[in-house]
Amino acid sequence: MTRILSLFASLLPAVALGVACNAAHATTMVPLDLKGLTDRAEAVVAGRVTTTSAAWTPGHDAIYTDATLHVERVITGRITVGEDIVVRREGGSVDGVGMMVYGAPELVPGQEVVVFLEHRGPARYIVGMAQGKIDIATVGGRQQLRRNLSSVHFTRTPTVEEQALSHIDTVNQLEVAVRRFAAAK
Amino acid sequence: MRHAVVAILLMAAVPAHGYVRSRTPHGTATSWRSSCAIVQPDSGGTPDLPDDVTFATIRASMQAWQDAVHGCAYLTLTYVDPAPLEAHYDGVNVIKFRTDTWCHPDDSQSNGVCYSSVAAAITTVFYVDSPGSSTDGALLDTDVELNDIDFTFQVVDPAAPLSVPPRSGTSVADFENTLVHELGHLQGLDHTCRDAATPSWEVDDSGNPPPDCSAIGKLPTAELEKVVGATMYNSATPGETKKRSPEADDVAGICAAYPLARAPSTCKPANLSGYKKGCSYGDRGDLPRGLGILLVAIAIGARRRRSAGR
Repeated sequence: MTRILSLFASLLPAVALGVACNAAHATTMVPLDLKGLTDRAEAVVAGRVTTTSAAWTPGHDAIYTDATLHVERVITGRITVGEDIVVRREGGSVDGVGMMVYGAPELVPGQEVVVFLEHRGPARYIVGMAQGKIDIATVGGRQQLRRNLSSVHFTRTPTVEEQALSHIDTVNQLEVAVRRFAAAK
Repeated sequence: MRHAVVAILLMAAVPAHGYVRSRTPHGTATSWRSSCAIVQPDSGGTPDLPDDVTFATIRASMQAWQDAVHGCAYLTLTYVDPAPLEAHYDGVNVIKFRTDTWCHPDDSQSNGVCYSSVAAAITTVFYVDSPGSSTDGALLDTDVELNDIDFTFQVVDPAAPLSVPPRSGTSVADFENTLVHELGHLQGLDHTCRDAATPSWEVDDSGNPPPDCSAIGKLPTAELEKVVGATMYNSATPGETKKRSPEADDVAGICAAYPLARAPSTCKPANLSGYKKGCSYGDRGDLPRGLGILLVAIAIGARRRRSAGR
């Protein structure tokens, strides 16, 4: 674990530089590594998506989807284990009209996820849209975390940031890393 | 013959990834049903650039697509002069810089939508989601909103990238590079690799799930270049300008969506009359089967009651 944290620490200057300099386009965004996600998050929790419900905004100009997340683990933040929280994402489908926002995370009932949460206006969203959602999968009896770093600029050649994330395989490891960053806020 | 069979099997075994078309949750590819998509900038422009540069860049970005797909696709991007506009669901495809808050305008009300501060631009696409209907997947409205709060938009000189510092606390985004990519979304293209935001139902041009963005380095070189080199690839390097011109894979996507042989005869805005804000099925004159049966049953019941009362 020490190795993981020291690797993260060694990466911080490069990560910070990347966030400061990188231009972004489309709904591809400023890349956020774990520290960037944690810095922006009010809470980080693991849980299961139980339901989703789409609706128009009051002005009927946009559709959003509220997903209910049953919280099974609180990594940081003032949320209680066992609580059902609502996480909003942009887009959805209502009355025969679909609205798609590129970059918005996909939240589907049954998904096990770790999410970095922030408030935008009155609603609770995922930090960095799709970047702040990590899928928890079990493959061959082993837990796997899948956070896609597509929005980050290092896909052409694997970078230290990407390698660093690949060293976190379980929610336990993620929790240690996130709490370390949260404590340093 | 045997060699040919082997070659075909090999081709089938190794997916050649390429463009990805946006799809409805039921798998229908989205597209405009008119011969054109009308695009109009908000006249407010951006404080980062003179208006003439801003609007000329928008025209140039649209023209870049037109030039690239000329000869194989029928869809034209039609520019309309700037006017004071908001990004509403109204059938007007707006390009708008947000300079006060990075929120959808409805955020003034309690249930509004605000965007992530790390997003330089957001493209919102409305489409018909009516499985089985001939209009399923028809695009109705698309708006491109640009985050002028957290980003400084420039028209970067490729010879001297990032020569002008961004406004304090912001990152630089090349406006044209960004916009050409966004216009790909506006026409119905998605990113060339799969990320956490990619719906599970999306497939690439060969019918396979798009390659995982985080494992893209594992692709064969030619395929990697195709996916990463596309304008619809989902990331950009600082000051990047190469996405200002669509690549062959992007062109193939548009030409597949809008083949000349299927060109509609008219250029007109999408008709929202049947798909208005929060509309019911009745607005379109095609009641859901269950509701139709219920209404018939009520009518029969009422008739019987009237008969019984006579």
